[in-house]
Amino acid sequence: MPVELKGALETIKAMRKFDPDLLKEMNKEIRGVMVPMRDKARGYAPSPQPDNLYGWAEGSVGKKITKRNSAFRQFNVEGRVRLFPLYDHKTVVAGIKYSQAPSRRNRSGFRSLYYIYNASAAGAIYETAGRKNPGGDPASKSNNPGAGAHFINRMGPLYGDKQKERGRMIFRAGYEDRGKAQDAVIMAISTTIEKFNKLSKGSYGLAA
Amino acid sequence: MALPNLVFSVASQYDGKGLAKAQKDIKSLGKTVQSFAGAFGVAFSAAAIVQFGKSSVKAFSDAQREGVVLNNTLKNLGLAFAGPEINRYIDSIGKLYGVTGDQAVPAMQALLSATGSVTKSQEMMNTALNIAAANNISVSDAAKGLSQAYLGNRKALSQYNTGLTKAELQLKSFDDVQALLDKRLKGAATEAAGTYAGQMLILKENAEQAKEVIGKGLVDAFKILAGDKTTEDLAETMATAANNTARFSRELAKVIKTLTAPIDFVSGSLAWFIENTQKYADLLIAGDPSGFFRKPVTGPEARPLIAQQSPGERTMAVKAAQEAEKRAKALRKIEQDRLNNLKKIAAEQAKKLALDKASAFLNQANKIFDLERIQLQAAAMNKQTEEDKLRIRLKTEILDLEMAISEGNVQGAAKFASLINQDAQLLANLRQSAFSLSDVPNPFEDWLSTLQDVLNELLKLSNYKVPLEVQRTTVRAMLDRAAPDIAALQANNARVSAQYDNPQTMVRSLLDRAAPDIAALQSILASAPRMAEGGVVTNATMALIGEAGPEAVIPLNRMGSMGGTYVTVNISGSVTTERDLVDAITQGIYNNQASGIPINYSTVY
Repeated sequence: MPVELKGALETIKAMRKFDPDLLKEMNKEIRGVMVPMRDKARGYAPSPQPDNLYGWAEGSVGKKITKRNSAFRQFNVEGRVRLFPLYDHKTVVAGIKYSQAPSRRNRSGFRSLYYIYNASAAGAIYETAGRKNPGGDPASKSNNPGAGAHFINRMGPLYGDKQKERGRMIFRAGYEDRGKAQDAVIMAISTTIEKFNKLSKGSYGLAA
Repeated sequence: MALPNLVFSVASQYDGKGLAKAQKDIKSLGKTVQSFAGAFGVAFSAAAIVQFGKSSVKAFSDAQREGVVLNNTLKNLGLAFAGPEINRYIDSIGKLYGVTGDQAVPAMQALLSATGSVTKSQEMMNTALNIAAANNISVSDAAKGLSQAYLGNRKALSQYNTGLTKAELQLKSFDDVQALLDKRLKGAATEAAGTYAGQMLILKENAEQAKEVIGKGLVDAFKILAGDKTTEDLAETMATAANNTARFSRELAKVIKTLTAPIDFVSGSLAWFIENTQKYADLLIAGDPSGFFRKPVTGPEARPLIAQQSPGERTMAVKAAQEAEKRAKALRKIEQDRLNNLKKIAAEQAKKLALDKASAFLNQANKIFDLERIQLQAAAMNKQTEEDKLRIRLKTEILDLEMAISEGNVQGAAKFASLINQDAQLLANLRQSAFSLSDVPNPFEDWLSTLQDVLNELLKLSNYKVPLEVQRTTVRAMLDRAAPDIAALQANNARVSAQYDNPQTMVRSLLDRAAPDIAALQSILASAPRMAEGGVVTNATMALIGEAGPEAVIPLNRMGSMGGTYVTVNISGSVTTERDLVDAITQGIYNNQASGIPINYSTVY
């Protein structure tokens, strides 16, 4: 669960304006904590595909290129609905990224300051499949209603405590880290802000 | 960009600007929606008026079509004079029970076609309303079933919970069945109409009728406005008029609301109003070219029923009513004939059933009169004369019964069956003692029970009473048959009582009875062999022993142990072989044994 920091954004903006070196130093320190976690999460991406889900794997050597696995695929012909993304280890690994650019507001109004995210669709599927319905969609109208459960079971277990904080790559790395990275980041931010406040005391007032 | 739940964030900040913006957006949206709703409401109200006008015209045209079809049916049935009355009746049941015209008209058509009578059709329609309410079916279906039942097909009635079997439904007259249905389902339609669903139906039907009236007015109005155009043109004109009306309403509201507005606005609205209502004003001022507004209502609905008819029409109506009554009478007669025929058929079937039973009894009788068996029994029983007579008489009666059955004479059959029953009982009694001596099975046991059943059936069917003389004869025959046994019993009783009264007489009597046996025993003893000289006995023999002194009776096979004679045969001279010698001796012993002399021997060689 991310820690809410009141006034952090404003402080960062101020730091960027008045003491960019201090901000860079802080970001570097935080990056030093977050990137190993990102790399660990990348290491959890199965290769060439999860278990033996061969049909989900994309573009293996010698495989016939169809409209489903073509590199140019985007939409189907009816209704412009995106096709189910195929799994490509390289894409999934590259899609796990670290960012320190504040995100947009989510539905609850919060903005993430330092975070790891999954940019690839297949990676997101592998990360979260089975969070809500571990046994597949109970209201499935498919001709093969057990396919969802089969797909999820092949991917292995989800790691994490709460439903929305469970996953197989990024969230697994965060779960196994047991909050050390978060503590380090908070500590770095607090220290830096404190330092910045000391430096700017009397001139700009206190931040955070 | 990552999805919200796919971000592993270690630090975040609440951004309240989003919420404020969202609230602002919601307010803005609310204003937009409000203004849109206003505009939409204006457009919708106009469209609703147009739609209502169209549906009203459609309701009117549907009602008119139904009315034309019904009137045509009435005309074909010679009941055209009753058209207005039936229309009023249909309207009234619509208002009272919520029965729509599209149900009531086909229902009434079916009933009128079946009965040919307006009164009967209305009666049956009331029954159909109750049936429909009680069974949750449509009135047209109920009326269809009733009309079929009226014409003889009672299949549908079995579904209406009459509590009658199919056979009863077939046998009862339609009036009886209808009365039963009315009794059982009385008030069902009224009850159903009192429910919420019923009230909704009534409201709907009344609204439909109102729509029909409005539709008729609209059609007339637009006919005046648009001349003799097509329906589409009329609808278009109607839409335009409705739009104008809506706009008028809206503008009028604005005028009321903005009474304090500048006078030029009011004058502009008035100018618009005058411009758009010019043709109505022209219509009112210049007069109605077709005379629609000036003429009094001249339709058939404006006149009372009698006043609508000319003397010629009244004569025709009376004539048609008479014909309808005649036809209804003919239909009633046909229905009555059909019921009578059904009753006759049922009675014939009952007769046939009884005669079939009698026929089965005859088949059974044929098995009994097996000549071979009769002869065997007669030889065994030595009562040929009496039994033969009975059998012959029975056979004659059976032939008479066959004749009666073939002629369909139930009373005759009952009479002969009664006689057969009587004689068969006599025959059975005669046979009773024989059965204890004979192995021949008693064929009368089953036959008599069957015969009794058949007789009962026939007597019931024909109301035939067994004559008193026959009953007396039967009793007398039974008493005659029992008379010897009764006499023997009485004699036996007298003899036993006499014997027990005098012991000496009883002993003498016993001795007298035993005298022949004693004499026979004495004779046997006199002729018995005497064994004082000895002898050989090889089978059971009564003999006199010890008559001349003590004797020993020794079984021959124990003679050796009792000191029997040993004979040693010494052979001197030459024989052919030793075996030949043994064989010669053995043969000689066998010969002696065959002549009754027991000899035990053994050989050593």
